[in-house]
Amino acid sequence: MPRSNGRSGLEHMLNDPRTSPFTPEGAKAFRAVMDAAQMPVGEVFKHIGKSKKAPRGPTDKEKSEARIEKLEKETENTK
Amino acid sequence: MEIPIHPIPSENKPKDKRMAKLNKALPRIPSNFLIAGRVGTGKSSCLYSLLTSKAGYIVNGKSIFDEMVIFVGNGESDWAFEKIPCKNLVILHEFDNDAIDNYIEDLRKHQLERLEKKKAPLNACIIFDDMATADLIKKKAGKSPLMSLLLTSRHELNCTVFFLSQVVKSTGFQVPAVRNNITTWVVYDMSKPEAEKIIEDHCNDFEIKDLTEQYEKCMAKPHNFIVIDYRRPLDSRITERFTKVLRPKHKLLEKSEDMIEHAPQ
Repeated sequence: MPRSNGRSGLEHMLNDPRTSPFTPEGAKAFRAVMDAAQMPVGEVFKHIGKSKKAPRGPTDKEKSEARIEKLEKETENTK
Repeated sequence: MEIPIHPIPSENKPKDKRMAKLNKALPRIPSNFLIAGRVGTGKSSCLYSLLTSKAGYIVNGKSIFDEMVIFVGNGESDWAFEKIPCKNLVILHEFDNDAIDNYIEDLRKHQLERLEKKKAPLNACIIFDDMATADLIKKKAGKSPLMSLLLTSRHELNCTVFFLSQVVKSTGFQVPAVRNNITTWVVYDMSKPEAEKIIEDHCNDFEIKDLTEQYEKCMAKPHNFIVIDYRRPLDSRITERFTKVLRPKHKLLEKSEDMIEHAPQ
């Protein structure tokens, strides 16, 4: 999943004591931002901290097939 | 104190478990094979049997080779090669230096990637059936991909190479770098000068005359062949077909003399 600006912003807020809901000083600021965003808190936490899934690269079989196909094409092109 | 010799760590590659299931009579792979013989002696049949027979390079009904590239001079045996139980196989009738160079480079990278991940390398196989080998080995723009293939095939490429040829003399096979890197010679009936050259170069612990006689005796049987496998110990290096070990006469004589000397009086 691409890293959205919104997600980066939420992480930033949680990591900053001035906006983090877990610090006394940040709780108020966090609440104000969440109210303005009109997004349920549960939804926010579902996304925070989740590691980004690495995109699946080609398998060995796919690489091998691609290599053979490329050789076939390049050889045919020289005819 | 004798110095203990340990295998160089680069040789400790992850093992392909399928190898243990292969017929023990087969030459070990990866190897560089040259199957040489006059027209009609059975070179292609030998290769076909090695690649399709249950006793050949087959495990659980599938080829041990994960990918195969087959260069054939004509199209008449395409249908036979298509029967090899390898899903990733291509049959080509032309040879292009740049294309094979790119292929080798890509295979090399892929094999190194697998080794980094502690996976056994893929078993690759390239076949040249009656292609004009001398032309293939010639350098173009200062390099010869085929030479590079032969020098590195058994190492980082983990690639087995088969050459099928009617002649050996005056071809690329006489180039020392090529000749020295052919590990397995399968020799069918050849013309006298061709056979003499092979025997002279590869007689090992045989006397030339002795191996010539034993070779000629083998060739008296139709479609017979001898195998010189440099990956086998000296005393079992030369065989009639793949299993019947040929022994030098002088060693047989020494053995019998030794037996006589040590016989109880």
